[in-house]
Amino acid sequence: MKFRHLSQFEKELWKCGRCAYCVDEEICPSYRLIGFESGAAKGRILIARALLNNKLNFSSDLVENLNLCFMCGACKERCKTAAKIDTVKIFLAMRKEAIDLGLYPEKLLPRYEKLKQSGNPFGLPKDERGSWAEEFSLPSKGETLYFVGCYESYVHSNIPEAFIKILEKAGITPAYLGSDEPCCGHLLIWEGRLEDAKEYAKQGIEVIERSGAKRVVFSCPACYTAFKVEYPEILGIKPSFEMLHATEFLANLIEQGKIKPEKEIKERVTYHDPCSLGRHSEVYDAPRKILRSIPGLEVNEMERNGRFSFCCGSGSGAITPILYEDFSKKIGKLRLEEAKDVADVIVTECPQCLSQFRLVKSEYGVNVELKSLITLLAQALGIDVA
Amino acid sequence: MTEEVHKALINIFGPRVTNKPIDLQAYSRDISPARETLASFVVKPQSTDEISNLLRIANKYKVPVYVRGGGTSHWAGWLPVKGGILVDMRSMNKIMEINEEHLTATVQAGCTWYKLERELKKRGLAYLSSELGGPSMTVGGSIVKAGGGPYGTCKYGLHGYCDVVSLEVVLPTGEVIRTGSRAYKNVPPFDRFGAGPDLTSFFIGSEGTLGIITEVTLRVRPVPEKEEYLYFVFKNWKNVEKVGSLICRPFGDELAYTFYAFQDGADLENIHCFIHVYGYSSEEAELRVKKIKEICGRHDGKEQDPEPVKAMYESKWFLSDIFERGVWHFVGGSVPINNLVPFVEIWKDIVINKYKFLNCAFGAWPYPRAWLPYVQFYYKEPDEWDLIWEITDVLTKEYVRMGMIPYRIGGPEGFLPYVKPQLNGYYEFLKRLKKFLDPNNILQPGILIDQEEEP
Repeated sequence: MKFRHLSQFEKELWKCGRCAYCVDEEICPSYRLIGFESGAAKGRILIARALLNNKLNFSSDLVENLNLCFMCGACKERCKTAAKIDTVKIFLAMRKEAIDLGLYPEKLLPRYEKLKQSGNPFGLPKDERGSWAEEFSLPSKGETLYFVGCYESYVHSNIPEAFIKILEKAGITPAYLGSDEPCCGHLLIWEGRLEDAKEYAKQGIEVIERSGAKRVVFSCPACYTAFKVEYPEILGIKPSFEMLHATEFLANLIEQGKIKPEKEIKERVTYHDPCSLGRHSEVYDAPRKILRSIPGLEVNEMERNGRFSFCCGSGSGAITPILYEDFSKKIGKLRLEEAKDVADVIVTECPQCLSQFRLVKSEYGVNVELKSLITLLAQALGIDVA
Repeated sequence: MTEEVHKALINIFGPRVTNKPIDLQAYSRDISPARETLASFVVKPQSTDEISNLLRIANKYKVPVYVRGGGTSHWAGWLPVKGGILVDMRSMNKIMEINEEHLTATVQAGCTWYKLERELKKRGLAYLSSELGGPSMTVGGSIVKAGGGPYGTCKYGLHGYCDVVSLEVVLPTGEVIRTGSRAYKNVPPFDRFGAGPDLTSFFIGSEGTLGIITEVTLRVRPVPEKEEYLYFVFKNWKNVEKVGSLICRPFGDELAYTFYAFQDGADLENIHCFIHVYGYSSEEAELRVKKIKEICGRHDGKEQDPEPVKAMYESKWFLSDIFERGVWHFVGGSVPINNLVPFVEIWKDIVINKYKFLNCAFGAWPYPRAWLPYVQFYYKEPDEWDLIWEITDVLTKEYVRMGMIPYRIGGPEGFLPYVKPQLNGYYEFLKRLKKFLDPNNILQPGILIDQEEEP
């Protein structure tokens, strides 16, 4: 059998020297859950080679195995000191093969259908996308555009609200597309539906370019990674505008003295690096700069942080929580417990991580508070936030 | 019968047994170029009892059992050449006890050195010998091969020289024994000697053929107060051989933790020597540094900036760019302390001059009164497989003929075919012991001891 996506990585696959740097349950949630080395990058690379050599069939076991990979990129990070294999792209190619073979998991279909029909994965009305912004008078055109994304528009709208209020303090009014803002298609990329995802990428870039924006700020790290990393590297489409994550934008404002967090917040916090913002986009310092600027905060790092942060259990594309909810929650519980060891509050800037932690917290009752970094900063600026 | 074995394994291991083709494929290779080999089942035990039950089942159904730690053997040490059940020890990874008075650490055999080191460090302790095996390398895996590497070997020798205090072992027929002081009921592991002969040693280096090691008690030490790094470049191996010998000469009080010499196949001018020095006081470390510098200087060593040495020792679990030049294969073993140079010459003759294969290096580190030389090949899979097999076949034959003891023996695609003709009556004795302990030859068949050759 020919595997048109995977075969592009044949040379890459043979670079693996089986050092097993990646076979570590401390960094790899998939290996932790599966327990056998088929759950770690080393094993999946041996499986991929066997597929290309026609020694293995593309079985339903393999589809399950691939969907139990959180695509968090920790193995890729470990491999940077060894063979420098882009493991995540290889596993994505394997997911694409599964789709070509008609092995798309049925449980993912409702989300896909909702996205097709409503332009967001929740199936909520398109014209409600900008409801959170009704209290602000944001123009639809301007040099700096704010891209909010589905999760923050519909589920975590307190984050964009806080972000706009912070920008008001700095005298900045960004443009906003309102209900014309499309989904970034990040979920589809990680499901392996690249042709569909390309349509969303083209639409997103086109609508932004039409707005005349030279710079786009994203608060959702999944949207940010989609535009900045996944479109050019996976879909081969490079946006022409400058892209910043909100934490980078805000850290700059703090550095320039345009906003001054002066309200003391006496809390013991730890920062959780979302996989999309950290390993996939390499934004590690900006969120920490913001935390360090807030007076009164005690900021403690978890043992696994930065490049080797542990996944929240949602993963790129939030596939595992849909297909294997219990497994996904187990990983989230481990992460919350790790946070609890060093802090009372876990701070992050990813709506998917926040949703996942909220779910895990209610299920297991882990006694740690959850906060978005942007809302925490707003609080330190004396802004009343939800 | 396979179905019966599967049911019996599920009874013991529940979800920690698999026979899915994708899972078996994931365990098909070690680091060496040995061809892929598939087990029929992989199991992940969590306790000594589970291993004991496994071996009883294996004997009942006469199914081979192979055992691995992190899976990073580079001499086909665990590949299931006769199929059967592969035991992945990585779930037996608990640190059972760190005793700060006895200076011992007791761990399950699947505990990684990386994990143990981090726990010891919190208490100001260390185990001061290590191979170059990365973060997956397990304590049991190293002990069972009596491994050694460029960390601490100059001072403490190979794993098992003196720093293994006690073992818990499941014999091939399922009985559990404990060695050293733990041979006595309710006595902690503080002494390697127990009742009668030192049977701890019996299992060190046994390559998993005489029993499955489930717990290991190690001698640990306080972290030295002072560490120093030195870097010298030499122009000829005769001087390096002499320097290594002199540094190790104060037997038991060797001047360095490590003396690690290597030469790249593409640069036959320079021999790089990395030296790691220690002291339980600054004065002690300074004295050692002074003596080593004097010895190196007397043998035309040129001192360099020690930064690369420090960097290597500080990043020992995650060395950088390890496969930059290709994946790895090794040929190496032990030779007497005054007999290193002929092995360098043969490397140059065969690998560099005859095969013109420059993508390689010759390295060596001394341990008490011996050297462990090795040739490391960097090659491309699968294109250079045939070439690598040919070169290493010629080189290994010559090295074994010259008296090198391979670092371990492994299976039919390891060193076994080369070693067997060189062994004397000791090997027959070993086979008899194996037969006594493992009458059905179920544990690691084809590895180290080849019972099938018996008349």
